[in-house]
Amino acid sequence: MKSNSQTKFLAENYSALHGLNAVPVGFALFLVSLWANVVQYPITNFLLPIVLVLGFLLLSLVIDKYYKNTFGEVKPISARRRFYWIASSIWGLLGLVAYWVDITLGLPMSFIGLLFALMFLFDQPKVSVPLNRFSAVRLVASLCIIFVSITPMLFGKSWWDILGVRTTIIGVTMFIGVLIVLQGVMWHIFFVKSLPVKETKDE
Amino acid sequence: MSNVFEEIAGLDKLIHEPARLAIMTILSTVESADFLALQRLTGLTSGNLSVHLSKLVEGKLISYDKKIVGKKTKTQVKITAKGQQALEKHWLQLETFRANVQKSKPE
Repeated sequence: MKSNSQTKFLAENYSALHGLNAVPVGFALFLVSLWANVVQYPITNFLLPIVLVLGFLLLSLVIDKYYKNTFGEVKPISARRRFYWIASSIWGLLGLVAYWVDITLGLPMSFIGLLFALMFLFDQPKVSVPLNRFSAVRLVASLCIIFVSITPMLFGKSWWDILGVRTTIIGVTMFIGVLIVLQGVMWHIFFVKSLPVKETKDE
Repeated sequence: MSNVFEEIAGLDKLIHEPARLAIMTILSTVESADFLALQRLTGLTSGNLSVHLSKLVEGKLISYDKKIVGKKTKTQVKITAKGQQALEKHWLQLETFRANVQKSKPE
């Protein structure tokens, strides 16, 4: 049996801790960015990214079913669900603004990257003090994204050429995609390990 | 000190049992949870969980909602208003008990 605070944390963040749900998102972000890096401009054929996104949507459904069948479902309180939808909409809007800033202003840092770094810090379950293992992963991931986002300021705008990456925004989104996949897998492991040990027999 | 023992005796035994306290704590933080999630969060076997849930239902501290989804029966469990109040009262009693024990400790 876990402590009261651990049990509360696990119950409140139950579906947010299902890390594998993030894996298709990370893969899609990485592979679509990779496609944008190698495709011939002007782009005439969008079939590959569309197939990729559809494939990862299907994978998301499979993962969702796996969690429902293996770990069951917890419905958060309505205030929390409302907060989630409002937060998602705000992050989405900010994402569009950050994307516009990145492609039009050409500043020596990536606003998309900085926005993702903020998301890693403040999305549920957000980084808390004292750090628990979920918070620690989020904090490290966030600091890594901030560093990668400001590399053009530190090493010059064309430093991505060394890695064969066309633009900062492509490099940053590829990096974030990999990080989302890694974080998702780690969270899944932490989540499974955080659950109490199963009783072996009835009393 | 006799007050302390009276306080222990006054605890609601239906909630005070560790497994039932864990179930009540989980249900107090969410809108509902299904049987499998409760099993994973408490680590109880399905038999033990069923017994504890039945006792809590008898005490009207939680409520069930059984639905058939496909070929499976899905049980959604919710805490009732009475259950929420009883849990809050229980934690308050425990805190008071702890404070009284601290006060009665010899210097």
